[in-house]
Amino acid sequence: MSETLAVREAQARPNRAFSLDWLPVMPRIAWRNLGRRRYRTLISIGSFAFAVLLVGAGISLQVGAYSSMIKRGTELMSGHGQIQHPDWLDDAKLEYLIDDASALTALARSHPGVTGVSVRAQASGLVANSGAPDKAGKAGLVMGIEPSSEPQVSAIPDRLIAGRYIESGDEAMIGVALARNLNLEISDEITVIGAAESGGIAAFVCEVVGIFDAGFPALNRTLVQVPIALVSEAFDLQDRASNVVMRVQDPMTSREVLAGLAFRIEQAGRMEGIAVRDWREVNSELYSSILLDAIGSVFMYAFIVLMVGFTILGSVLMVMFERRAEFGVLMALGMRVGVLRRLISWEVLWLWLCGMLLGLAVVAAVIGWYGEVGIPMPTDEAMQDILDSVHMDARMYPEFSSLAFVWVPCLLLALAQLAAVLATRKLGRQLPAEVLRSV
Amino acid sequence: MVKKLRVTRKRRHWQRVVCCFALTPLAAAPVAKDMPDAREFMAAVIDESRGQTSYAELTMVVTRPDWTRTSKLVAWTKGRDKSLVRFTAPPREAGNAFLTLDDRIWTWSARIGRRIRLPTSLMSQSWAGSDLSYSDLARSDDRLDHYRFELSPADASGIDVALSSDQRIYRIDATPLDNAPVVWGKEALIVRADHVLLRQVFFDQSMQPVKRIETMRVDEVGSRVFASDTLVEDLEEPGHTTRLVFDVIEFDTDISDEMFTTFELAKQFVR
Repeated sequence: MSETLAVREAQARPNRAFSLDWLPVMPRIAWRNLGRRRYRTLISIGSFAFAVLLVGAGISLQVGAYSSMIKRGTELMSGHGQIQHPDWLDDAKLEYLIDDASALTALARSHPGVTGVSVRAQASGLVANSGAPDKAGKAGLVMGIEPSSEPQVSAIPDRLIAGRYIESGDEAMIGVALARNLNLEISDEITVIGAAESGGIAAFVCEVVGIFDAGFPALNRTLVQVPIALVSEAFDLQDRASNVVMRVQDPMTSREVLAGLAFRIEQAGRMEGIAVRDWREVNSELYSSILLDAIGSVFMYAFIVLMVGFTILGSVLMVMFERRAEFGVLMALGMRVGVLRRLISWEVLWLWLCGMLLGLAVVAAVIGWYGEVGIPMPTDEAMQDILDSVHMDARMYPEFSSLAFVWVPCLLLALAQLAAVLATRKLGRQLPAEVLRSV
Repeated sequence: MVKKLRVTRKRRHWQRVVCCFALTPLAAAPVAKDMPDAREFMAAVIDESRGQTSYAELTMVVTRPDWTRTSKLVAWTKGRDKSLVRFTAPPREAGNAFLTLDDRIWTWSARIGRRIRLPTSLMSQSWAGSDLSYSDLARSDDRLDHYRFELSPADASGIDVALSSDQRIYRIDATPLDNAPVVWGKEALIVRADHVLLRQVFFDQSMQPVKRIETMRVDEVGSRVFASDTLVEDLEEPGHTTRLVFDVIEFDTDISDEMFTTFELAKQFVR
């Protein structure tokens, strides 16, 4: 007999793949309650999903764009940080060089977290085609680099379009526009003349072994890279240099890494006439543009999240209104107000959870796809100029961000729970009879 | 009564205005009569400093907050548009030279044995690490084509009595013409009646003084009077000065046109 009852019970229980029987009774009742008004539940879930989709996708796009801007903005010249003279940033003159460059370079190389180090000596100069002395020269930025370590901090060696990278001796790599303006080809000789640090004329000749396209007109038009020994000798610099350029593992942590390096330099007693700056200071225009954009976006996202918060509040208030009779009966039967509040809180929690799962799944799929293939930007010349000016690629690659996937959902949960508290705050102030009478 | 008073006041006002206009030519007449033409005066200032030809040996002292460098130079000029300047000391600089032909400038580095022609865009840059610019070396009569001049009597206060030599002092305000390839906002020159330049102040586009050339000594060579000791000050960088002292100068000597060629520029300097 009992066996027959068990079979009947089993047959009577619907065969559901999705069962919440393992949960305590309160979340189970909350879930069941959501099923009673499916249309409204779907709208509420949609609100959550839409909010996290909008904010999450927006943040992922921005984080991707910022990463691209930081990468492009730091990969050619500034690196992720520099050791330089305190006044170099405002006035890049030979007057503001750092002493003991080799000791500082060694310190930087041994510092944990620093992945690439190279020393540079740069000066303004006049560059001319030695084979055409009557053709006017061009103003140039003459940069002495360490050929062996420069690729660690700069992508210019990867941007060669002709010839090869400099190795040593009297060799030069020049920008493509400078080569065109001076009618220079590989193996041609250039003359460089400038003002030495202690006055007088600094001059040297070298052979063009490489021509690069840095992707930035100003660099293509002016930059001449030669071995640092050549610049040091011609400009009489000895062991002084313009800057020690560094790269770190993650540019977002460069500030901390470089603060540690500055502390070590100070301990070594070499901090006089030295400033250790991260890319945010060296490339302040880039950082400011990112910061400005991010500040503007914070307001937009806050507005969206707030909008969703009010939607949820409205939804819960509606629930409270519709279920006054139910709550009145339950309270008359002796259910405590606190239990009712917990029930509403669980219902809101379910709505949030479903909304997040749906929204984040869509965001993850979109970011996963476009993070790989990229979102193409318009390629007309005007747009390209704008992209170049803010150091952005022609394709935008969104990136997963903890802000989008953790913090925004947490904020939405807090707002939803706040809405639940606000909506149920009147329950305790009314007697069950009053509640029932008002129905 | 009130109306009559107003009419009287109006009449007095117009009487004053008419009187002012009537008296203005009388007041201005003596000044206008004595004042030379501004442009011609400026041309005379340029010619006075160069002569038809000139040969000079100079000492140039460049001073910076951290160091001082003394160089020796020789210079040849012919007319308003040809000059050759060659360093003779210190040894590291000896032989380096600058040739100016019209508005073109070549620089010669003796160390590497190469010459470069300067682009026009670099004319305002520092010359040989001093506070002078390449355009200070280039055709000085360019100024006549690119500026509008206003001549006025100047106050001699602030000018050394020995330098003013009891002569009349003029002020020339040189304002660049609208399309002139000039970086300055204005130049103000204080000049003696005998065309000797006593002071020259360069103003930037916001009319702030940025460079000053001050005559420290005036000498006489034959019938010619010229500034033989000049101090150039960078007013934006305290402690940045360049002093040019003429040790030897000869005017109107016989200098061949061959002197002002790129061949001569590249000639090895022999001490």
